[in-house]
Amino acid sequence: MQGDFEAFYLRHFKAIYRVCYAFMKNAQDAEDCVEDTFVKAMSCGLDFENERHERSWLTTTAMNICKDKLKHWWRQKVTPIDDAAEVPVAQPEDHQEVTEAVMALPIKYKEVVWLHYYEGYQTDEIALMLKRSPSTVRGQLRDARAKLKLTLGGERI
Amino acid sequence: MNENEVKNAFDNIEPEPGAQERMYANILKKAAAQKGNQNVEENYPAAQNHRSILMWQRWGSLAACLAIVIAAGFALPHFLDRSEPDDPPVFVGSPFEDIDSPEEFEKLGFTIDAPENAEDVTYCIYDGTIARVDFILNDHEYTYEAAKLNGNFSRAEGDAVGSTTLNAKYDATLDCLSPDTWRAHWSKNGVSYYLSNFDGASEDMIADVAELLIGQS
Repeated sequence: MQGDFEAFYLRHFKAIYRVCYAFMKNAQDAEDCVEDTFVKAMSCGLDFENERHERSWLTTTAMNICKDKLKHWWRQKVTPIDDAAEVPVAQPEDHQEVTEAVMALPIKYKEVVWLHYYEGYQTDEIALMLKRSPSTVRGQLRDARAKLKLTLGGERI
Repeated sequence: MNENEVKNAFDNIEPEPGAQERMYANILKKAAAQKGNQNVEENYPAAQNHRSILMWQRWGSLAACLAIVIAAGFALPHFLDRSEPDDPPVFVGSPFEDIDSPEEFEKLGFTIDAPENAEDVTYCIYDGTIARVDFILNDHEYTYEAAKLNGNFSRAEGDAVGSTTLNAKYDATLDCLSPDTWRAHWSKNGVSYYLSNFDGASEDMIADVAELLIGQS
């Protein structure tokens, strides 16, 4: 069982780290959220149909864990005034701009942007995963694009 | 937005050296600790119940205080001013009314439908006046709206950066709102129609769909 779980972890830990990083904006909190996500996976004992199913479960669980941590009263009390995201090292400049712009999005937009642009899910799939209507997801994607356009400028978008 | 930009940007983010092993070790530790706590609860249910009872008392008191405050909030106006009757509360429901078929648009005085071969077609009436059909055609998502209203009531808001005429007879125009966003509109028999796309369909694609729908309307 441990061998299976280790393979499961190795298949997905980077992608889950990235989504946690996008939400928590620093490596330490991202690692915490990754750990909690996989602990939950271990304790739930779910039977996944395939790798895509594994990824979708892990991604939505990770997002929920990140959102819970961000909402926690303790975090709201002690969040530093300068809440700028920790800058990831060794990124090309244009990638850094995109990274920062996505991380600056409000959570509801970040979720749909991540699931659509990073994970490649279609709006109906996203609607099921986030328990929202497809039209809401489409509207949020549209609004997210508009916000990213404002931040990144019109050149590349 | 370019579909690959977000993926490429975040694919460059890597966990710190050693983080892979560190996180895995912590996962096993946390899972073991969780299992240990569950065993304690199973072996010492009395202790857990005792904690639960105390918790119940605490939260129960809080709930009772809250109930008194809320009740006072409702009761106080009655004591302060009885001269005018209260206005009944206004309950605002969702403006969206999901419907099963385009025939249900007939109560608006017209109907619209997705083009043939469209997939994932859904219908709704917005705000009691606007007919809306969402569909996918050739891997692009479209919103088709119609109403007996003036002005832009479509989802595609904003000024056009460029426009082309599609069909002069019905005053049909295709507006480009951004590289990813198009809005076609036309009028026929007192009904205004809008077709919008937000996911970067080409100008030709949306023009073709609009021409199909103009013929249908």
